[in-house]
Amino acid sequence: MTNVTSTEVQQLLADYEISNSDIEKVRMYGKILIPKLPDYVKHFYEWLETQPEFVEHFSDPKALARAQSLQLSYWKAFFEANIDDEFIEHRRTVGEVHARIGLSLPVYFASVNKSLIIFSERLYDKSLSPQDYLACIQAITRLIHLDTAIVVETYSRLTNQKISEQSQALMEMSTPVTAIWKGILMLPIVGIIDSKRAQDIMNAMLSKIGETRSKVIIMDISGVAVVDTAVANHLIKITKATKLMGCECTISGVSPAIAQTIVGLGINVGEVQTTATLRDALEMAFSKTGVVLRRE
Amino acid sequence: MNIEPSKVAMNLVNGCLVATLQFDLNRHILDSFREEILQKLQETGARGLLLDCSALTLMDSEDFEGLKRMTEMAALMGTTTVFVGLSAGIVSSLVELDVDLDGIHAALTLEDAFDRVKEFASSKGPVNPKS
Repeated sequence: MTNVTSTEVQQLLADYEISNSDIEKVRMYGKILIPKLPDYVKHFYEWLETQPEFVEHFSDPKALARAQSLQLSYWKAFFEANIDDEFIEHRRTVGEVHARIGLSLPVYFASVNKSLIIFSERLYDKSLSPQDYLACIQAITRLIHLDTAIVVETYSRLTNQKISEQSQALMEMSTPVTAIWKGILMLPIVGIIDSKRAQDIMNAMLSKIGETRSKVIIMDISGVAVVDTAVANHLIKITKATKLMGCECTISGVSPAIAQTIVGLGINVGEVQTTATLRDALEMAFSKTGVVLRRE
Repeated sequence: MNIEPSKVAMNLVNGCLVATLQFDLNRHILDSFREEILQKLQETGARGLLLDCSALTLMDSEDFEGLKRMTEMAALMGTTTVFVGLSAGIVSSLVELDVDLDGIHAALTLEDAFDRVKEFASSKGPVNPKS
Protein backbone atom coordinates (compact mmCIF):
# COMPACT_ATOMS: atom_id res chain seq x y z
CA MET A 1 0.00 0.00 0.00
CA THR A 2 1.28 3.46 -0.83
CA ASN A 3 -0.02 5.13 2.26
CA VAL A 4 1.88 8.38 2.56
CA THR A 5 0.37 9.67 5.78
CA SER A 6 1.51 12.95 7.23
CA THR A 7 1.19 13.65 10.94
CA GLU A 8 -1.95 15.68 10.31
CA VAL A 9 -3.65 12.74 8.65
CA GLN A 10 -2.48 10.35 11.36
CA GLN A 11 -3.83 12.70 14.02
CA LEU A 12 -7.20 12.82 12.25
CA LEU A 13 -7.34 9.05 11.95
CA ALA A 14 -6.44 8.70 15.63
CA ASP A 15 -9.09 11.27 16.62
CA TYR A 16 -11.76 9.27 14.85
CA GLU A 17 -10.32 5.94 16.00
CA ILE A 18 -9.93 4.69 12.47
CA SER A 19 -7.48 1.80 12.48
CA ASN A 20 -5.94 0.04 9.52
CA SER A 21 -8.44 -2.77 9.90
CA ASP A 22 -11.23 -0.20 9.60
CA ILE A 23 -9.72 1.02 6.37
CA GLU A 24 -9.52 -2.59 5.16
CA LYS A 25 -13.20 -2.98 5.98
CA VAL A 26 -14.10 0.14 4.04
CA ARG A 27 -12.20 -1.19 1.07
CA MET A 28 -13.84 -4.58 1.44
CA TYR A 29 -17.27 -2.99 1.35
CA GLY A 30 -16.04 -0.79 -1.45
CA LYS A 31 -15.46 -3.85 -3.61
CA ILE A 32 -19.20 -4.46 -3.48
CA LEU A 33 -20.20 -0.82 -3.80
CA ILE A 34 -17.85 0.82 -6.29
CA PRO A 35 -19.47 -0.96 -9.28
CA LYS A 36 -22.85 0.15 -7.97
CA LEU A 37 -22.01 3.82 -7.46
CA PRO A 38 -23.95 4.96 -10.55
CA ASP A 39 -27.02 3.40 -8.90
CA TYR A 40 -26.22 5.34 -5.77
CA VAL A 41 -26.13 8.60 -7.68
CA LYS A 42 -29.51 7.74 -9.16
CA HIS A 43 -31.03 6.97 -5.76
CA PHE A 44 -29.44 10.00 -4.24
CA TYR A 45 -30.80 12.46 -6.79
CA GLU A 46 -34.23 10.91 -6.62
CA TRP A 47 -34.19 12.02 -3.02
CA LEU A 48 -32.47 15.34 -3.63
CA GLU A 49 -35.05 16.34 -6.25
CA THR A 50 -37.67 16.35 -3.52
CA GLN A 51 -35.66 18.95 -1.58
CA PRO A 52 -36.41 22.66 -2.01
CA GLU A 53 -32.68 23.44 -2.46
CA PHE A 54 -32.52 21.26 -5.55
CA VAL A 55 -34.10 23.82 -7.88
CA GLU A 56 -31.88 26.57 -6.52
CA HIS A 57 -28.59 24.77 -7.13
CA PHE A 58 -29.23 22.32 -9.96
CA SER A 59 -31.67 23.98 -12.32
CA ASP A 60 -28.93 23.93 -14.96
CA PRO A 61 -28.59 20.35 -16.39
CA LYS A 62 -24.86 20.94 -17.01
CA ALA A 63 -24.27 21.85 -13.38
CA LEU A 64 -26.26 18.79 -12.36
CA ALA A 65 -24.18 16.46 -14.55
CA ARG A 66 -21.01 18.01 -13.19
CA ALA A 67 -22.11 17.65 -9.59
CA GLN A 68 -23.04 14.03 -10.24
CA SER A 69 -19.70 13.12 -11.78
CA LEU A 70 -17.89 14.87 -8.92
CA GLN A 71 -19.99 12.95 -6.46
CA LEU A 72 -19.12 9.71 -8.20
CA SER A 73 -15.39 10.34 -7.94
CA TYR A 74 -15.81 11.56 -4.37
CA TRP A 75 -17.34 8.30 -3.18
CA LYS A 76 -14.98 6.24 -5.30
CA ALA A 77 -12.07 7.86 -3.50
CA PHE A 78 -13.92 7.29 -0.23
CA PHE A 79 -14.26 3.53 -0.75
CA GLU A 80 -10.72 3.20 -2.05
CA ALA A 81 -9.81 4.71 1.31
CA ASN A 82 -6.33 5.95 0.51
CA ILE A 83 -6.35 8.46 3.29
CA ASP A 84 -3.49 10.82 2.64
CA ASP A 85 -2.97 14.54 2.28
CA GLU A 86 -4.57 14.54 -1.13
CA PHE A 87 -7.68 12.87 0.26
CA ILE A 88 -7.98 15.47 3.02
CA GLU A 89 -7.29 18.29 0.58
CA HIS A 90 -10.04 17.04 -1.67
CA ARG A 91 -12.49 17.09 1.24
CA ARG A 92 -11.49 20.67 1.98
CA THR A 93 -12.24 21.63 -1.61
CA VAL A 94 -15.68 20.09 -1.24
CA GLY A 95 -16.25 22.21 1.86
CA GLU A 96 -15.09 25.31 0.01
CA VAL A 97 -17.48 24.63 -2.85
CA HIS A 98 -20.38 24.16 -0.46
CA ALA A 99 -19.54 27.38 1.34
CA ARG A 100 -19.23 29.27 -1.94
CA ILE A 101 -22.55 28.18 -3.36
CA GLY A 102 -24.14 28.70 0.04
CA LEU A 103 -25.47 25.18 0.48
CA SER A 104 -26.85 25.00 3.98
CA LEU A 105 -25.30 22.68 6.54
CA PRO A 106 -28.59 20.90 7.40
CA VAL A 107 -28.98 19.90 3.74
CA TYR A 108 -25.39 18.71 3.69
CA PHE A 109 -25.86 16.62 6.82
CA ALA A 110 -29.11 15.20 5.48
CA SER A 111 -27.34 14.26 2.24
CA VAL A 112 -24.55 12.50 4.11
CA ASN A 113 -27.07 10.64 6.20
CA LYS A 114 -29.05 9.72 3.11
CA SER A 115 -25.90 8.46 1.41
CA LEU A 116 -25.09 6.29 4.40
CA ILE A 117 -28.55 4.76 4.27
CA ILE A 118 -28.29 4.10 0.55
CA PHE A 119 -24.90 2.45 0.96
CA SER A 120 -25.77 0.34 3.94
CA GLU A 121 -29.28 -0.73 3.01
CA ARG A 122 -30.41 -0.18 -0.52
CA LEU A 123 -27.22 -1.15 -2.33
CA TYR A 124 -26.16 -3.98 -0.03
CA ASP A 125 -26.24 -7.37 -1.77
CA LYS A 126 -26.11 -9.41 1.48
CA SER A 127 -22.92 -11.19 0.39
CA LEU A 128 -21.08 -10.60 3.68
CA SER A 129 -21.41 -12.40 6.96
CA PRO A 130 -23.38 -10.44 9.59
CA GLN A 131 -20.22 -9.77 11.62
CA ASP A 132 -18.32 -8.47 8.61
CA TYR A 133 -21.28 -6.40 7.54
CA LEU A 134 -21.53 -4.79 10.97
CA ALA A 135 -17.79 -4.07 11.09
CA CYS A 136 -17.90 -2.61 7.58
CA ILE A 137 -20.77 -0.29 8.42
CA GLN A 138 -19.03 0.86 11.61
CA ALA A 139 -15.83 1.59 9.72
CA ILE A 140 -17.70 3.46 7.00
CA THR A 141 -19.59 5.51 9.59
CA ARG A 142 -16.32 6.57 11.22
CA LEU A 143 -14.77 7.52 7.95
CA ILE A 144 -17.89 9.46 6.98
CA HIS A 145 -17.70 11.32 10.27
CA LEU A 146 -14.11 12.27 9.52
CA ASP A 147 -15.13 13.40 6.05
CA THR A 148 -18.00 15.46 7.37
CA ALA A 149 -15.83 17.07 10.01
CA ILE A 150 -13.30 18.26 7.42
CA VAL A 151 -15.99 19.59 5.13
CA VAL A 152 -17.82 21.39 7.93
CA GLU A 153 -14.59 22.79 9.36
CA THR A 154 -13.70 24.30 5.98
CA TYR A 155 -17.25 25.45 5.51
CA SER A 156 -17.41 27.31 8.81
CA ARG A 157 -13.92 28.75 8.39
CA LEU A 158 -14.87 30.22 5.03
CA THR A 159 -18.19 31.48 6.31
CA ASN A 160 -16.49 33.19 9.26
CA GLN A 161 -13.93 34.68 6.95
CA LYS A 162 -16.71 36.05 4.78
CA ILE A 163 -18.43 37.55 7.80
CA SER A 164 -15.27 39.21 9.06
CA GLU A 165 -14.56 40.65 5.61
CA GLN A 166 -18.07 42.03 5.47
CA SER A 167 -17.83 43.58 8.91
CA GLN A 168 -14.51 45.13 7.90
CA ALA A 169 -16.16 46.66 4.85
CA LEU A 170 -19.03 47.82 7.02
CA MET A 171 -16.63 49.46 9.46
CA GLU A 172 -14.99 51.37 6.65
CA MET A 173 -18.35 52.54 5.39
CA SER A 174 -19.56 53.40 8.87
CA THR A 175 -17.32 56.40 9.54
CA PRO A 176 -18.10 58.89 6.78
CA VAL A 177 -16.50 62.05 8.14
CA THR A 178 -17.17 64.87 5.69
CA ALA A 179 -16.16 68.49 5.56
CA ILE A 180 -19.42 70.39 5.05
CA TRP A 181 -17.99 73.88 5.38
CA LYS A 182 -14.61 75.45 5.82
CA GLY A 183 -13.58 74.41 9.31
CA ILE A 184 -16.72 72.37 9.94
CA LEU A 185 -16.81 68.58 9.83
CA MET A 186 -19.85 66.40 10.05
CA LEU A 187 -20.27 62.75 10.91
CA PRO A 188 -23.67 61.11 10.81
CA ILE A 189 -23.74 57.91 12.85
CA VAL A 190 -26.27 55.26 11.99
CA GLY A 191 -26.77 51.95 13.73
CA ILE A 192 -25.16 50.52 16.81
CA ILE A 193 -22.06 51.84 18.56
CA ASP A 194 -19.82 49.29 20.22
CA SER A 195 -16.34 49.93 21.53
CA LYS A 196 -14.72 48.80 18.28
CA ARG A 197 -16.84 51.17 16.25
CA ALA A 198 -16.37 54.00 18.74
CA GLN A 199 -12.62 53.56 18.33
CA ASP A 200 -12.96 53.61 14.53
CA ILE A 201 -15.12 56.71 14.67
CA MET A 202 -12.66 58.46 16.93
CA ASN A 203 -9.66 57.61 14.76
CA ALA A 204 -11.44 58.69 11.59
CA MET A 205 -12.51 61.97 13.21
CA LEU A 206 -9.11 62.77 14.66
CA SER A 207 -7.22 62.17 11.46
CA LYS A 208 -9.76 64.20 9.50
CA ILE A 209 -9.48 67.06 11.99
CA GLY A 210 -5.70 66.96 11.63
CA GLU A 211 -6.02 66.98 7.86
CA THR A 212 -8.58 69.75 7.50
CA ARG A 213 -7.69 71.80 10.60
CA SER A 214 -11.35 72.04 11.42
CA LYS A 215 -12.61 73.92 14.47
CA VAL A 216 -16.01 72.30 14.85
CA ILE A 217 -17.28 68.81 14.31
CA ILE A 218 -20.92 67.83 14.39
CA MET A 219 -21.71 64.26 15.32
CA ASP A 220 -25.29 63.46 14.40
CA ILE A 221 -26.67 60.58 16.44
CA SER A 222 -30.28 60.70 15.28
CA GLY A 223 -29.67 57.37 13.53
CA VAL A 224 -28.26 55.63 16.59
CA ALA A 225 -30.64 52.91 17.69
CA VAL A 226 -29.82 52.62 21.37
CA VAL A 227 -27.95 54.88 23.73
CA ASP A 228 -26.95 53.20 26.97
CA THR A 229 -24.25 53.98 29.49
CA ALA A 230 -21.53 52.41 27.38
CA VAL A 231 -22.51 54.29 24.23
CA ALA A 232 -22.79 57.58 26.11
CA ASN A 233 -19.35 57.06 27.59
CA HIS A 234 -17.94 56.37 24.15
CA LEU A 235 -19.50 59.57 22.85
CA ILE A 236 -18.14 61.59 25.76
CA LYS A 237 -14.70 60.10 25.20
CA ILE A 238 -14.82 61.05 21.54
CA THR A 239 -15.78 64.64 22.32
CA LYS A 240 -12.91 64.90 24.80
CA ALA A 241 -10.49 63.57 22.22
CA THR A 242 -11.57 66.09 19.60
CA LYS A 243 -11.18 68.84 22.17
CA LEU A 244 -7.53 67.88 22.58
CA MET A 245 -7.14 68.54 18.87
CA GLY A 246 -8.56 72.01 19.37
CA CYS A 247 -11.84 71.07 17.77
CA GLU A 248 -15.18 71.39 19.47
CA CYS A 249 -17.58 68.51 19.11
CA THR A 250 -21.30 69.07 19.10
CA ILE A 251 -23.61 66.10 19.35
CA SER A 252 -26.77 66.71 17.39
CA GLY A 253 -29.90 64.69 16.90
CA VAL A 254 -30.54 63.98 20.56
CA SER A 255 -34.08 62.68 20.45
CA PRO A 256 -36.49 62.88 23.41
CA ALA A 257 -36.00 59.15 23.96
CA ILE A 258 -32.22 59.48 24.04
CA ALA A 259 -32.41 62.50 26.34
CA GLN A 260 -34.65 60.55 28.70
CA THR A 261 -32.36 57.54 28.79
CA ILE A 262 -29.27 59.65 29.38
CA VAL A 263 -30.82 61.48 32.29
CA GLY A 264 -32.55 58.33 33.52
CA LEU A 265 -29.27 56.44 33.60
CA GLY A 266 -27.74 59.32 35.51
CA ILE A 267 -25.00 59.85 32.94
CA ASN A 268 -23.06 63.03 33.46
CA VAL A 269 -22.43 64.42 30.02
CA GLY A 270 -20.37 67.23 31.52
CA GLU A 271 -19.37 69.95 29.11
CA VAL A 272 -20.49 68.08 26.01
CA GLN A 273 -22.59 70.31 23.81
CA THR A 274 -25.78 68.72 22.55
CA THR A 275 -28.59 69.90 20.31
CA ALA A 276 -31.87 68.37 19.28
CA THR A 277 -31.50 68.93 15.56
CA LEU A 278 -28.73 69.07 13.04
CA ARG A 279 -29.97 72.52 12.09
CA ASP A 280 -29.26 73.95 15.54
CA ALA A 281 -25.85 72.34 15.58
CA LEU A 282 -25.04 73.81 12.19
CA GLU A 283 -26.14 77.28 13.28
CA MET A 284 -23.96 76.97 16.36
CA ALA A 285 -21.04 75.83 14.25
CA PHE A 286 -21.52 78.78 11.91
CA SER A 287 -21.50 81.27 14.73
CA LYS A 288 -18.40 79.65 16.25
CA THR A 289 -16.46 79.81 13.01
CA GLY A 290 -17.77 83.29 12.24
CA VAL A 291 -19.78 82.32 9.18
CA VAL A 292 -22.71 84.64 8.47
CA LEU A 293 -25.38 83.42 6.09
CA ARG A 294 -27.40 85.99 4.21
CA ARG A 295 -30.15 85.65 1.64
CA GLU A 296 -29.41 87.53 -1.58
CA MET B 1 19.36 69.52 43.73
CA ASN B 2 21.20 70.01 40.49
CA ILE B 3 18.89 69.86 37.50
CA GLU B 4 20.10 69.69 33.93
CA PRO B 5 18.47 72.24 31.64
CA SER B 6 15.65 70.78 29.55
CA LYS B 7 16.79 72.51 26.34
CA VAL B 8 13.19 73.30 25.47
CA ALA B 9 12.94 76.40 23.33
CA MET B 10 10.89 79.17 24.95
CA ASN B 11 9.88 82.45 23.35
CA LEU B 12 7.70 85.28 24.48
CA VAL B 13 5.30 86.15 21.65
CA ASN B 14 2.41 88.62 22.01
CA GLY B 15 2.51 88.31 25.75
CA CYS B 16 2.31 84.55 25.57
CA LEU B 17 5.09 82.16 26.41
CA VAL B 18 5.53 79.65 23.58
CA ALA B 19 7.38 76.48 24.57
CA THR B 20 8.26 74.17 21.72
CA LEU B 21 8.79 70.56 22.70
CA GLN B 22 11.17 69.19 20.11
CA PHE B 23 11.83 65.72 21.44
CA ASP B 24 9.88 63.05 23.24
CA LEU B 25 9.61 63.61 26.96
CA ASN B 26 10.91 61.74 29.96
CA ARG B 27 10.79 62.40 33.68
CA HIS B 28 14.03 64.32 33.90
CA ILE B 29 13.19 66.59 31.02
CA LEU B 30 9.74 67.15 32.49
CA ASP B 31 11.13 68.06 35.91
CA SER B 32 13.60 70.61 34.64
CA PHE B 33 11.15 71.88 32.06
CA ARG B 34 8.58 72.55 34.77
CA GLU B 35 11.10 74.48 36.84
CA GLU B 36 12.16 76.56 33.88
CA ILE B 37 8.66 77.28 32.69
CA LEU B 38 7.34 78.39 36.06
CA GLN B 39 10.42 80.53 36.58
CA LYS B 40 9.97 82.09 33.17
CA LEU B 41 6.25 82.71 33.77
CA GLN B 42 7.07 84.62 36.91
CA GLU B 43 9.75 86.67 35.15
CA THR B 44 7.67 87.58 32.13
CA GLY B 45 4.19 87.70 33.60
CA ALA B 46 2.86 86.03 30.46
CA ARG B 47 -0.91 85.59 30.42
CA GLY B 48 -0.80 82.50 28.24
CA LEU B 49 1.41 79.45 27.95
CA LEU B 50 1.38 77.62 24.64
CA LEU B 51 2.85 74.13 24.65
CA ASP B 52 3.72 73.30 21.07
CA CYS B 53 3.61 69.51 20.85
CA SER B 54 3.50 69.25 17.06
CA ALA B 55 6.99 67.71 16.88
CA LEU B 56 6.13 64.95 19.34
CA THR B 57 5.41 61.45 18.07
CA LEU B 58 4.83 59.76 21.40
CA MET B 59 3.30 60.75 24.68
CA ASP B 60 2.41 58.30 27.42
CA SER B 61 -0.01 58.92 30.23
CA GLU B 62 2.81 59.76 32.64
CA ASP B 63 4.19 62.47 30.37
CA PHE B 64 0.72 63.84 29.90
CA GLU B 65 -0.05 63.81 33.63
CA GLY B 66 3.21 65.67 34.20
CA LEU B 67 2.29 68.32 31.67
CA LYS B 68 -1.21 68.53 33.06
CA ARG B 69 0.08 69.11 36.58
CA MET B 70 2.26 71.81 35.15
CA THR B 71 -0.79 73.50 33.60
CA GLU B 72 -2.48 73.41 36.99
CA MET B 73 0.54 75.09 38.57
CA ALA B 74 0.56 77.67 35.80
CA ALA B 75 -3.15 78.27 36.39
CA LEU B 76 -2.40 79.00 40.05
CA MET B 77 0.02 81.61 38.80
CA GLY B 78 -2.75 83.06 36.65
CA THR B 79 -1.69 81.68 33.29
CA THR B 80 -3.87 79.80 30.84
CA THR B 81 -2.16 76.85 29.16
CA VAL B 82 -3.08 75.69 25.67
CA PHE B 83 -1.75 72.48 24.11
CA VAL B 84 -0.92 73.06 20.48
CA GLY B 85 -0.73 70.60 17.61
CA LEU B 86 -1.29 67.29 19.34
CA SER B 87 -1.36 64.64 16.63
CA ALA B 88 -4.29 62.33 16.01
CA GLY B 89 -2.21 59.34 17.11
CA ILE B 90 -1.24 60.88 20.43
CA VAL B 91 -4.79 61.99 21.19
CA SER B 92 -6.26 58.62 20.34
CA SER B 93 -3.76 56.80 22.54
CA LEU B 94 -4.28 59.22 25.43
CA VAL B 95 -8.02 58.67 25.28
CA GLU B 96 -7.48 54.92 25.14
CA LEU B 97 -5.27 55.16 28.21
CA ASP B 98 -8.24 56.82 29.92
CA VAL B 99 -6.34 59.95 30.85
CA ASP B 100 -8.40 62.60 32.60
CA LEU B 101 -8.80 65.32 29.99
CA ASP B 102 -11.03 67.71 31.94
CA GLY B 103 -9.92 71.29 32.03
CA ILE B 104 -7.43 70.92 29.19
CA HIS B 105 -7.38 73.54 26.48
CA ALA B 106 -6.04 72.64 23.08
CA ALA B 107 -5.67 74.05 19.60
CA LEU B 108 -4.33 72.69 16.39
CA THR B 109 -2.26 75.69 15.33
CA LEU B 110 -0.40 78.43 17.16
CA GLU B 111 -2.68 81.02 15.61
CA ASP B 112 -5.77 79.34 17.04
CA ALA B 113 -4.00 79.00 20.36
CA PHE B 114 -3.37 82.74 20.56
CA ASP B 115 -7.08 83.27 19.91
CA ARG B 116 -7.96 80.86 22.69
CA VAL B 117 -5.74 82.69 25.16
CA LYS B 118 -7.27 86.00 24.10
CA GLU B 119 -10.78 84.59 24.64
CA PHE B 120 -9.90 83.49 28.14
CA ALA B 121 -8.19 86.73 28.98
CA SER B 122 -11.22 88.74 27.89
CA SER B 123 -13.66 86.49 29.72
CA LYS B 124 -11.68 86.56 32.95
CA GLY B 125 -10.34 90.08 32.78
CA PRO B 126 -6.73 90.83 33.65
CA VAL B 127 -5.38 87.66 35.16
CA ASN B 128 -1.91 88.69 36.08
CA PRO B 129 -1.65 91.90 38.05
CA LYS B 130 2.03 92.14 37.18
CA SER B 131 1.52 92.56 33.45
